[in-house]
Amino acid sequence: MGTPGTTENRPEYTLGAQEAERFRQFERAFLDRPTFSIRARIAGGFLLCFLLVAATAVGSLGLLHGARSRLAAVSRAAAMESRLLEARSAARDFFREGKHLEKARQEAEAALALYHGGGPALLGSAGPTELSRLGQSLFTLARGVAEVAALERFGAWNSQLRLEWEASLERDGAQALAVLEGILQREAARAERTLMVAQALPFASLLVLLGIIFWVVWVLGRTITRSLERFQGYTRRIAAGNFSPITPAKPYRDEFSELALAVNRMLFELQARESQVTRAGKLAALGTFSAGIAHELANPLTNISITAETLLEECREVGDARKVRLLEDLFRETQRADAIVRGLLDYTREEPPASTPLRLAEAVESAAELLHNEMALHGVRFENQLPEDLPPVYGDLGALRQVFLNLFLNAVQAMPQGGRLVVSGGPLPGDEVHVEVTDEGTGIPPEALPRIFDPFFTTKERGRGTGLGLALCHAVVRRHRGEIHVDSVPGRGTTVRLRLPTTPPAEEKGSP
Amino acid sequence: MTAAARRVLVLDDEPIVVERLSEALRRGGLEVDGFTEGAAALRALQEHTYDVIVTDLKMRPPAGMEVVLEARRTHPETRLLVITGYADRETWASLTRIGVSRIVAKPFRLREVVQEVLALAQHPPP
Repeated sequence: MGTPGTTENRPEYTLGAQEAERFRQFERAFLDRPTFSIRARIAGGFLLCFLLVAATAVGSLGLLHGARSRLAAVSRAAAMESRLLEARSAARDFFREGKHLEKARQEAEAALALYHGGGPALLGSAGPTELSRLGQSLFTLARGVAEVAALERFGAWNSQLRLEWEASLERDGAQALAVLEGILQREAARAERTLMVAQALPFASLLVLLGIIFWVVWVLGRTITRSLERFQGYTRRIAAGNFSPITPAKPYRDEFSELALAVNRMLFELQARESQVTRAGKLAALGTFSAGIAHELANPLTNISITAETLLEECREVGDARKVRLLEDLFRETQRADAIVRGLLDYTREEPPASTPLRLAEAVESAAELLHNEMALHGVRFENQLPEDLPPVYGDLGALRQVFLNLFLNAVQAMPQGGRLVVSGGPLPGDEVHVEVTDEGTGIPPEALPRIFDPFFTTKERGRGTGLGLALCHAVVRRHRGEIHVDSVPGRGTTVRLRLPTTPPAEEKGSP
Repeated sequence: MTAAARRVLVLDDEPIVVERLSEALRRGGLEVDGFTEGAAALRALQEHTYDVIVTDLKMRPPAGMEVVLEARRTHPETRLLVITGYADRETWASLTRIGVSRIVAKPFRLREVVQEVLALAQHPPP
């Protein structure tokens, strides 16, 4: 685990590795979802609004342009029609009264010229065949009038020819007029329609705009208020003491997911804190209780012990081997009870430890030295990987040596077939150091972990441990203003993590 | 021991402790006066000069601490050994300051205390 010199993330450290892993699982559940933020949705809504307004504007411009070109076609066709009408009326005058032939020629020419000038512009409103028929009619009309004029000038007329020309011109004029009338009617109707569409467009776009606004306000608003309601529910649930993490409620990730992540983080911290506070309270109560028992037991135990000792001496002098053996048992058992009482007294000691700056490596090395034979016997390889330049901590060397002694003893007993026992650590931000004691032993079952620091709780077989080792470690580390955590995987091993401040205790630091 | 047997005062409110300790010390060749009450010990202190005083601290007043202080006042050469169930650092420090030579935590081993007392009795303060 923690390699020397690495600085680890503090909050995770307070959580403990298993809880941190559970937390990360929920975190991943949120982070794996596609992002669809409320901000993006608002931006999208407004973008839609903008596009709609822009499309409306462009559409209106197009429609107006269309209407204008329709109207231009109408006026062109109307101009042609009026020339044509003038030409026809003049031609009729000529055939009836013999005058206005020149005018008829001019008007017919003018109508043809208008056609040549603006004919293609009418292509949109009349089909090509219709248009060419118009051109044909206008052309034959103009040519006819010109021919009639020539015949008139040279006087090469007869009544038969006159009748034929009159009918011919009348026919051409009627034909052109019919086409023009058609164009006029159609174009006027089209212009009317275009204007009506242009009139309706703003209303239609207003309706769509209303729809978008409704979507933004209603759908988005509902998303927000629902999320807020959900979070209100979470706060009630958390206040009631249910600390289970928030799970993703939506298939995508938005700003509320970030809030949920933050709340989850807080929940895990709270949980870690709470379990620590509960444990501290439990230990304090147990401490008071044990101190009372320890002190009450100290006197009778002393009496039994010294009486047994006296008898033992006497029997040894007399040479009564059987009684010596019995008394030795009695004496040894009082020693055992004595060890428990001493352990309890150490554990329940409330006073702050002596505070001299000391090297943790020294406590580690001297503890390992005491257990050298024990480790060799069980094939345990001890590795001290603490960095040389680890900042010193303030405290009681003897007490800290006792901590490492207990931890190493546990590790050795957890590795009857041997294995590696590694001490590593390094500095942490905020004037602290961390130390890990890792073994490859049998591990601790998860259900035992919460009780691991309780006095007299032991997972060892009867008679192998007093159940005070880790309790004492916890008490000593707490007295040194530090923290202790145990992570364990059954079958893989156990890591005990310590965190200790490198600053002197408050009363010395704070003195003026 | 030799001509002038060393004299020891033993004070503890547990009679068994006084009895066993006195026996063991006598077997070690010392002259022992045992008390279970502070008042009696204070009276004895006025009549005799002791080489070593062995006392418990916690008992009905006048407690061991008064005997220790009185002995310190009237007989500065007397060596002091305190047996106590409590041995927190503060008590330890103040006892050392007063001039207590040895502090033994309860429960103790008889042989240990006898050896300590004998050593103190053999080597009076310079």
